[in-house]
Amino acid sequence: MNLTSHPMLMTVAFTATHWAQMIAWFVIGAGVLQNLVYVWQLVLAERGLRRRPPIAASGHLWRRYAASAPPIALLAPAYNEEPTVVESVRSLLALQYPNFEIVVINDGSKDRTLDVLIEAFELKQIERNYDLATDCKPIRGVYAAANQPRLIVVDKVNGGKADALNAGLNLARAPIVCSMDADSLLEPDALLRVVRPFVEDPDRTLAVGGTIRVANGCTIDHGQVLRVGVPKNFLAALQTMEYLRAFLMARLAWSEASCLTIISGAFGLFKRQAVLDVGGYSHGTVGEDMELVIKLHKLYRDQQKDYRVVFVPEPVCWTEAPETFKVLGRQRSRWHRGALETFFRHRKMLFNPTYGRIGFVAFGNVLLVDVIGPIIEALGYLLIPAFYLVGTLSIEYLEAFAAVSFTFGVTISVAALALEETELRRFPDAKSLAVLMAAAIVENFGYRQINNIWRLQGFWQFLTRAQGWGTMTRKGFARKG
Amino acid sequence: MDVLRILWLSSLLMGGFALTWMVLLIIARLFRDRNELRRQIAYQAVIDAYLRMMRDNMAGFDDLLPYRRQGRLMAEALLEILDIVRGAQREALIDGLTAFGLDKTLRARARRGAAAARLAALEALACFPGPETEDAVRTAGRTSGGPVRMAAAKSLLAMGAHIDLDLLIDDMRRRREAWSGPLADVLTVLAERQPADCVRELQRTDLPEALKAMIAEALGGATDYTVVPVLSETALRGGPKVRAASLRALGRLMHPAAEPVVRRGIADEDWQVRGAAVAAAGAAGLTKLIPRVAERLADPVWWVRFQAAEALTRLGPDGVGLLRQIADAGPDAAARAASLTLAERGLT
Repeated sequence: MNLTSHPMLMTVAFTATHWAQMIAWFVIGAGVLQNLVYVWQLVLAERGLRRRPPIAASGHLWRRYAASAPPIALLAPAYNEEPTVVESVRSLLALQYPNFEIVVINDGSKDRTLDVLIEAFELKQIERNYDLATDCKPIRGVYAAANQPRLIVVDKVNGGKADALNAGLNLARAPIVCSMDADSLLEPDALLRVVRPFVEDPDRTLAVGGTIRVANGCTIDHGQVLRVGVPKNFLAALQTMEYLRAFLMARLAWSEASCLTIISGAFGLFKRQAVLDVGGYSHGTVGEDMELVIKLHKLYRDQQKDYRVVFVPEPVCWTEAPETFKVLGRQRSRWHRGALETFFRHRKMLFNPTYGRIGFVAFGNVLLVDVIGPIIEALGYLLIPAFYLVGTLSIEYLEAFAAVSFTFGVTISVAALALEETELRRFPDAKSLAVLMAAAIVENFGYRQINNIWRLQGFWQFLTRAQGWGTMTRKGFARKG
Repeated sequence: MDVLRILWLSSLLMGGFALTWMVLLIIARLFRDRNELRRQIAYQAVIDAYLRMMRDNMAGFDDLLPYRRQGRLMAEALLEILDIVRGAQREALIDGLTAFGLDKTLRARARRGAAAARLAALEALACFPGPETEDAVRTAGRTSGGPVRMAAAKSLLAMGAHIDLDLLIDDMRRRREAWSGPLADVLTVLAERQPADCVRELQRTDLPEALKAMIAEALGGATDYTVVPVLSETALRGGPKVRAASLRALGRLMHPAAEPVVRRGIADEDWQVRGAAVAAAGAAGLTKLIPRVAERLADPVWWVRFQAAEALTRLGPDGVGLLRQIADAGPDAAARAASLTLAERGLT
């Protein structure tokens, strides 16, 4: 059909092309902005590591910080953790820290989680004076043992992770609480490392996040990582690289910029009173970790108080990464849904001068990366065939843009690895580095795109108000290499 | 140059850069692994030499010679040994290392270089007291901020040296440093040794509340009761943090003269002050305040109710008796606090 003989069709085609070009430029612009954010993060992360180099030896940490380290209550929610809970608690009891208690919260498990704990640690039901300062489902009993004075087990009606953490908050008496997953593995000196900001600036520090690493591929015995390794599983290896970028680069940079909005639920320290002041963990969201940090920012900015939310780059906590696409997809969709729930709950903070850099920079970044990011990326993928069909796609430019995007992604990953190598060096040998570098290249071909589909699924779940965590299938840590 | 060419060129440059960086990282790691292995061997050799020196302070001398310029290595090894060794063996080691000249190496190391090395040197220098060491440590502390300054202060205290608290605090304020936990450790020692200096700082009107609370808290460990009047004053007139810290300190000092102040603290408008006051009453054994403390079992804030119940268990048979009476009286918050604490303490 000759369009020139149909002025109406020509106008429609022209307008459509015009719009498509505008969208294309918007997609390119957003991509460039996102890449600039990565460069900025790298610079800040490097500065952070240089200004506050990690302390290598536990002995030095103990000498310098033990005397003034505040008491900590570790809150470990457990739901159907019968196979691993005893070993996890034993490894927590072996932590090197002068003054801590472990509050295990059995969140109405359907298996024998409580029974195995009672048997293993000879627990007896006790009375304990506690407050119902935050909302939680009824507590059925509190258990302790004379031979384990650091351990308290709380048995409660099932209510989810946030509810369990609230119960733990109510029971805890230490001024600092540490939220964690019952199946997380902590470094023996994890608490001493992460408590540093609370020791160095006790008055202003509200919360501290620690680096989470992928435990797949590591040699683990009795709940402790004996030797760090790179996962043999392809998906887990890709996630190792992702975690490096997310923690060592992004979170450290946000912390340096005083814009940290998330402290991982797998391991984070909080001033207990501050958490109580914001009403504890929120129910009805799968992103309770981000939600809590945002609530803290909001309260302290509203009250114009000076405060710090800090990130510590040393690896302190190890977690098992999903090894199948199905489980990983569920996890990523849930994470994305959590971020969106928090963003929209607190949307009034976006570009609101009251919240300073949290409103402008941190929320602006969530808007760019989590809210419009997946849509823009999807639009980009959709526009390519569309432009091709209408004959306006320049294959030459497409190839050039793809090449820039790919090499930039690889460069950022190598830079994150360089940060790790400069200050931490936890990977055992040069071969591990080579494997991770290969992962940094491979992830650009398919994995990034699949990730975006999972994020879009999370978006859809958020829009349709889908509930529930999905099943997180774990292999467990018991003695593996 | 057109856009297309720029894009390809940037891509090639970034690709080349990333590839080179990857290769360099791997090569650097190979070298680092060798260096790390060498350091581990050296560290073990130094430890072994120290162990020999502990048996005979001239033994191990020659074995240490190759490492005499490696101040950080020797300091860290020394600190590790000193964490577990006391008495005659420790003295033998220090004597041997003084003869070896380690103190001189550490004094030089404390003044310059990376913070980690300076910290180790300063911590180790505490074992080599003397005018030269004191001077070097003071210089290191004055010229640096943060952890290095605190390490210098702790080192001076370990040597038994005097610290000018005025100077320390003013310098920290000038550099806008946080009032850290290590500073609290330093203040705790100073409150024992130089209570008058701490009192003078507490009376300053230009210091922030967080610091004054820290000083007040430290004064709870003073062995000199002349601090009681000042703490009594700050327990009434300071901000909430200072009032609470002063009351906790008075509780630790267990001086009966604090009773009127604690009584007023129990009725304070701030819950943290009320909590600290009832705890102080219990810690100091102020039995006259039992009725006042018991009133706080009905406090709207759980922490105060909890502290009041705990305090009553510490106030002897009269306190426990009253706690039992309240526990039996009814199902309100006071009775719950009383009965739970009695049960928790095994006093039912």
